[in-house]
Amino acid sequence: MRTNYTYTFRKHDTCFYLRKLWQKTIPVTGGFFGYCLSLLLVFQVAAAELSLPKSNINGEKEFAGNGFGLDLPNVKTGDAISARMADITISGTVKDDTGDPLPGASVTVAGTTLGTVTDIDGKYTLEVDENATVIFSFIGFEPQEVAVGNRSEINITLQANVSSLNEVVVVGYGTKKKINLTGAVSTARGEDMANRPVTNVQQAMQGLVSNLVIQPNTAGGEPGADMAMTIRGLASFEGNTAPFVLVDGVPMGINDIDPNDIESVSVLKDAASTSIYGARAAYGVILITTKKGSKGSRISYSTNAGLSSPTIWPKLQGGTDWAHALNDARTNFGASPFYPEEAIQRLEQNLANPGSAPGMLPLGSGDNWDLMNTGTRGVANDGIRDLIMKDNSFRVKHNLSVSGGNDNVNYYLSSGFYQEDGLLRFGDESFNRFNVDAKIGAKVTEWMNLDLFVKYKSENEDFPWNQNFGRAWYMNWIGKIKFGTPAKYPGTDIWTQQTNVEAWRRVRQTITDNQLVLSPKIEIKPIEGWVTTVQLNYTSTQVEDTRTALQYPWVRPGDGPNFSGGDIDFIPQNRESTEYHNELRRNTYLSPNIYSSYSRLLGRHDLQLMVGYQQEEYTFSNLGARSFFLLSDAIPSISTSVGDQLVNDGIGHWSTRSFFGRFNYIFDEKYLLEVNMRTDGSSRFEEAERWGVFPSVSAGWILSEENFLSSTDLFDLLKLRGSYGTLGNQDVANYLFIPTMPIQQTNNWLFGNQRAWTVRAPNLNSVNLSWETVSTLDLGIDASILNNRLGVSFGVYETRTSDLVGPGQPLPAVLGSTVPKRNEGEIKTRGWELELSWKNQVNPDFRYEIRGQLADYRSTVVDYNNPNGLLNTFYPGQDLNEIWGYRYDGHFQTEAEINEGVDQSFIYSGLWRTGDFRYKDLNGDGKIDIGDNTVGNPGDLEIIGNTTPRFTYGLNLNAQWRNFDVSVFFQGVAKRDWTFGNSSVFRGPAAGPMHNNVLEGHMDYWRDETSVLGANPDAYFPRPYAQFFGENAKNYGSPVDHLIQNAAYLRLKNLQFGYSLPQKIAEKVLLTSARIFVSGENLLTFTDLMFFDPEALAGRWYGAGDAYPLSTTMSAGINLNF
Amino acid sequence: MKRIYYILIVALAGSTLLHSCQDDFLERSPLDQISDPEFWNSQSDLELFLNSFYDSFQGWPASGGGKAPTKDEGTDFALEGLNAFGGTFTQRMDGVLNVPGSGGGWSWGNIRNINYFLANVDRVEEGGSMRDHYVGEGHFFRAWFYFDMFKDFGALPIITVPVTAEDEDILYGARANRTDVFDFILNDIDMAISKMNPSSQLATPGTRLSKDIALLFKARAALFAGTWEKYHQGSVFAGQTDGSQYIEEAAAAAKQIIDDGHFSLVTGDSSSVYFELFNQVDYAGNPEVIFYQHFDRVIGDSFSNQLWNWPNGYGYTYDASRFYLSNDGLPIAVSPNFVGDETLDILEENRDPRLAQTFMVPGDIRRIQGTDTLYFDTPDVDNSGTGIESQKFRHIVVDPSVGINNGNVDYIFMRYAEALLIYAEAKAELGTLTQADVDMTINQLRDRVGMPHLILNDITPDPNWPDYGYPLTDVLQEIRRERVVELFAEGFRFDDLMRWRAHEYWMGERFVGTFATPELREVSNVPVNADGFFDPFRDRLSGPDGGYGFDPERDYLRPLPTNELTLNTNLDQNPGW
Repeated sequence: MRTNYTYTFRKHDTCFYLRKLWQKTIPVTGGFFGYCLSLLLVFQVAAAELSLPKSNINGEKEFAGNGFGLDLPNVKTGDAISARMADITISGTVKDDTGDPLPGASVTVAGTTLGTVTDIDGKYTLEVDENATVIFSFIGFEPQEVAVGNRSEINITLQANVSSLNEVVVVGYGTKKKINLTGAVSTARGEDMANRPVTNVQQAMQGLVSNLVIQPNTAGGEPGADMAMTIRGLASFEGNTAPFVLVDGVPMGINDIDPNDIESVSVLKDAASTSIYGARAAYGVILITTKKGSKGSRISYSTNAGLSSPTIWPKLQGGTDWAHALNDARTNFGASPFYPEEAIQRLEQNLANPGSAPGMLPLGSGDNWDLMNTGTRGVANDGIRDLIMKDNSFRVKHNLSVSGGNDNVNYYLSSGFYQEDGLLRFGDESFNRFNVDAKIGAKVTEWMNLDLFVKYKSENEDFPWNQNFGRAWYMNWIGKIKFGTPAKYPGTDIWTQQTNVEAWRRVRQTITDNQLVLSPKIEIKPIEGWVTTVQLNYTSTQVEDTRTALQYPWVRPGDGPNFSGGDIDFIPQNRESTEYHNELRRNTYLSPNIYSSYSRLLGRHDLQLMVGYQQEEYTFSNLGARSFFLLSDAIPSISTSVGDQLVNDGIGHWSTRSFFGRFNYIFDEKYLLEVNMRTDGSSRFEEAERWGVFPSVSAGWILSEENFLSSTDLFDLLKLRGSYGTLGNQDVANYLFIPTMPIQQTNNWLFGNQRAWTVRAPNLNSVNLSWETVSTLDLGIDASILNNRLGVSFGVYETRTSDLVGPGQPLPAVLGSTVPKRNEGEIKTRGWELELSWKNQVNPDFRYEIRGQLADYRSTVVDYNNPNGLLNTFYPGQDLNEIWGYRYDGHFQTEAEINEGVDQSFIYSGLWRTGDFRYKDLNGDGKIDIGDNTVGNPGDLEIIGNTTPRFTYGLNLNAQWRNFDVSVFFQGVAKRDWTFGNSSVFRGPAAGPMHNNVLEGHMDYWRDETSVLGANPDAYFPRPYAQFFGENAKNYGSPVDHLIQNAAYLRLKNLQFGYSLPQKIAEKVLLTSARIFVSGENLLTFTDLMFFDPEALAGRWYGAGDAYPLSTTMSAGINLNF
Repeated sequence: MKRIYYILIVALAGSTLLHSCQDDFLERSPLDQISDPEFWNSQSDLELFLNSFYDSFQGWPASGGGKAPTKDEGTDFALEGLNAFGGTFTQRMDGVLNVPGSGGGWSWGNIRNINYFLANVDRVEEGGSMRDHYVGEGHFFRAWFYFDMFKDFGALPIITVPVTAEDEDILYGARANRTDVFDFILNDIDMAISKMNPSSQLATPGTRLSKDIALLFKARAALFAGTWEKYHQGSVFAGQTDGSQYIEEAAAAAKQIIDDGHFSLVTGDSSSVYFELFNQVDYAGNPEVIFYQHFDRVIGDSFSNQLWNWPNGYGYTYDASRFYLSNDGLPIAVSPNFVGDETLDILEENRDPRLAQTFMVPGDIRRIQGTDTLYFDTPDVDNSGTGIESQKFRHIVVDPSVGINNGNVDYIFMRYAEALLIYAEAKAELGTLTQADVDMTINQLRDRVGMPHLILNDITPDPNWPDYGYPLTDVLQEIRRERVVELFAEGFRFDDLMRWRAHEYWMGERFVGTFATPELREVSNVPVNADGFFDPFRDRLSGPDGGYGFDPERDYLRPLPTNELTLNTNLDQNPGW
């Protein structure tokens, strides 16, 4: 008996999109079966020895399929199979609880991205399959899920609610409803970070969370650079105040993952929230949750490609002004000018007609090929102005993810690739990252869940490098290369040595960083309310750091009796000094966590108790080998070098062990209480000082649940919260309490012909070193009004970090050693933070959201063992990052002013000249000095600024109109002082011939009428001297208020326009949704800072000013969901 | 029931995990470093520990360290070029040093570390043939480090133990007077002499400290302290003695080196022997060199120097050249052979051959590069400041493929000639110098380069003898001259000027470079003085009339840092600061 079977497609089937190609009912004719169906059936049909039907036969029986396979228990040979779609169209009206229609409410099919939006009358129409569940939602209302069944009309009334407050937030070792939070926890959403052309998560998060300050460090905007982070400005004497970052419960670097994989971020700020993480969480915690699979299946692909250019990068002063400025800097101390009349003439000629005059001045010795001192003999006009930075560099990003699941299994598999080329014009640096993340969850039994996180990351960097200066090498060139420097030797195609280009190309560092994270987790729920979790975190990192120095052309004078001809010989640099250096660094982190919680609702009492155990073990080792004399540049390796070989290694470890517990109590959904306790032991302290106990308590009161408020409709939420807690910090170096004797080879001494080994004296060991204690008092208020449209969260806090590990009391230098570290001193940080959000659906086509945050703090030293109040270390009452300096009292304009002025010989005991700074004699003693260099007697020093960024803010605007969306993100710092100190880049012409230079902006220096450029008595900069420091010490030797820079800024961090294809069109091309967008990063900057990017201030070598700038990036991209 | 089993299994697994972590899970000690209790076992431990101090001997700076200075840069011998003005010696001679907040040479790390060595040396129970030698090295280093600070600061606290943060009596102690400090230094040197092996018994003679080195160090230090005490008598810098006892110690130590006969002067062709003494790439086995630093560019950047990339920021002075006698042994002011010295072309004519082997004039070889020879033609006045570059130390044969930063020339810390000069000067200061002494010392040096002998009772007065501000015997004038000529640019000049209390000689003066011919003026930026000589320090010195502004009541010693005086009220500042 032949049976006809019909397979009914469902919309979320894997084959869903193939349906589009075939009609709603697939004609199964001519032996050709629908491709999709045949894929699904091929094995089963073959196994059952079925013959495929010859013709289309309407079904008499249906069989089940779930997209993965079909269940064909009763099919026999000769049975016919056909397929059809079972769609129904539903429609209806959505209303709010007052009965008004709700326009713009979203109606989506659960587990899919299918959906629509209600029209102006609250009406909708949607095609679904009959087994679908439809979700109705709208901002400010409780979403509703409805099973369609066989209904074709579904009308819904949505209940207004505290929707966002029902949001679940990830907290330490668990989750919590946002409404029940009692600590200071800020959150950020994955979608705010996606689709931005940024290097890493830090760049994406900058400015999103109040009081999470993320700033570039000395690496500036280098491709792939990490940044420095602090939460709430918490400070320590040792300076390491980085927050503790966990990704899905695994401690990691925040940049170890792809921003596209982020679902949400919680930033735990107060001690009560972080204390459950104990030992390493003293400076706040960032919890990142990555995306996971949900029901159904989905494939997403997004890409984003863009061009970058430096945000702010100083330009060399062109024309002949730069040469006159450098000449002034020479004649200012009696020397003759660099550029005599003849040089200026040649330069003018070259400016008018490039290449028409020789670009190099002859040397006295006749070595015409030698440009001297980074180009002081060059008078060409060769485009050196843009030698260092490119106009454009490329970056691209791909992310592909597959996710899905059913009732028992869910999976999320994601792979990302990011490639960024650097901004260097001749150095071709690059950074790329490849990552694969997998998350698989399974419900093993009713009472047991199993999760496995696997994360793999590989990063590659390739940079020019230098043995002495590292990567500081090339940025520093902006302060050295002169405008007149010829690019190439005359008549050749070889770059002049002064451009450094040949070296940048051949002396390189490449770093490969591979990280593997494995984290299995078992969750057991033997009875209702009791959950025990065992999670093992294992991270293994391997870094291979390779440095090569290949041969490059070396210029020598050509033949001729005195080598004085114009000929140039290019002789390869000697092979002996070519070099290959490889260092392998490995570390392993292993940490089992076991925690168990029991929760119970007893009437109006909601109780939860959690206890847990954690231990951590971290081991690291490195092995480096360095060899000289490469036989070939093509194959640099240890094996192919025939010179000396050097080997070194390093090994170390630390461990912690902790017990913790938490008790939560909620009464009547109004009164919240949480108590935490954590005990930590650390290997970094000697046995007697090893253990610390750190309790915390927090409480909240949801006023809006009280009758007196809930009766009014004013507040959707009003909550007061407060917390006080302490936790310990062990972030000091390993083994400080053990006197160790460093072993190394001699640095520059040879015994006979041999280096020798040395063992050095131990530093004074730090006895009784123990935990730093961070205590925070936190008060906050959260409110939600106007139907949850307006959200306000405000918090104030005071953190006292005590027993701070610091460099100890200043002791006389006869100690002959660094003062041992001690637990002494206390820093108080006081601050506040405000987060505001406003969201509104204006009409069905248009909705928008504005979120802003503003925060500020000040850190003050409360206690420090500095009885004399010396200014060269911490002292009680000091605001951290304050700048002590002199007050400016004008430039000396006449000799008489110098002679009659106060004695400034303490600053510089040589000659003072007109154009030098006059300082204010604040203490009226007739001389400028530092007194005792103490707070009590600082001489003429005063606090003239503070480099702490104050009033950091971010503003995020999102709007959606029909299929268009736009987001704008501003970020800034409202107040910040900066001193460039004696940075030679900032000094410009006031530096030695090697380091001096003239940038646009430097022309405003003091000069009298003897200068070719004319007098400029009201200048900003003082009289420059072409000396490395020398007489410049008069003006740049100590900070002076006049030269303090305003480093406040406002920056348009990101601007994004997107367009989503209409559903109908998307479906035609097999997509569930598609969006194209353009996104720009760092598009606009408002700042008063001279020369440099206000975010890239800390240079790698000569202090500020030689930092790699950030990038302005224009990019376009696409998101596709299948 | 089944569920209970699962739970038990998990619980068991968990407890096993916990159990496997023994109690010492939190006990972590260093894995790649030795800690103090595990050290101090054998004499080789002593050697390893001492090796680290050798890095503090500063010969030529490593090639990455910028320019390669002469050791006398900043004195009357050598001036910084236009770009480098303001080195420590220049500042001290110009009296423009500032009181530093911290640092400023007041650093005690080495002294603490060597005290740590001396405090622990007895823990080594193993005997061994080198044990005593290493103990001697320990005392040598302490004396060496102390002497460095003694020259700068005079009185110092005497510290003999590795100080800890709890040693308040030491941390906040006062300075011992300069005589006690020097006695302490001498005592350490004597310990070193008595314990150490002579060079000949060492595996790496010349690069490892020896009894010979300690003897010459003693002679050098004692002559410094003795002559300082003698010439600073009555000034604020005077010590507690007249210095004669130290000068006798100096003479005795120098005499012992001579009598030991372990070393001798290198001899050879008088027109090149002196030059070739200073540009060797390895002094192993050299009879004259007692102590040197070996460089080897193959081993790496920090073991090479850039000595042939000259001039590099400094140049010798015309004034220095005027110390050199004519080749007839007479001062140039009176010698019939003298043909003038204003321009470089004639500078070296008929002069002490050491002048030609020290100064660079047109026609000298700059470098030999492969088959090419590069001759010196026109000086680079800008870079040298004076137009007078160095011939001494120049290793002229270069490998063309070697980068400019990779030189190989060894640096001499001590050579036998210094012992001869010390002996002569000490004896002369004591008034016991005989012609035999002169023949054994000064005349040995003169013989080597073919110069006529110094005859005690036949010294021709030189109208150009420096005015040291006090009467000086003719023979001492000539011995000082010999010291200038023989040890030129070897790092002795500044100390000599200080110990001789010679401020009258340079205060208010300005030293100049070569004569600025029209051709040279064409290619240089350096200012020229009224007499037509290059005058790089014009308009840059702080004294009256643009000369050196040294303050003889203050500038012979350096100031202590402000912070130290604030921290330790028992510490007093040096005079005048």
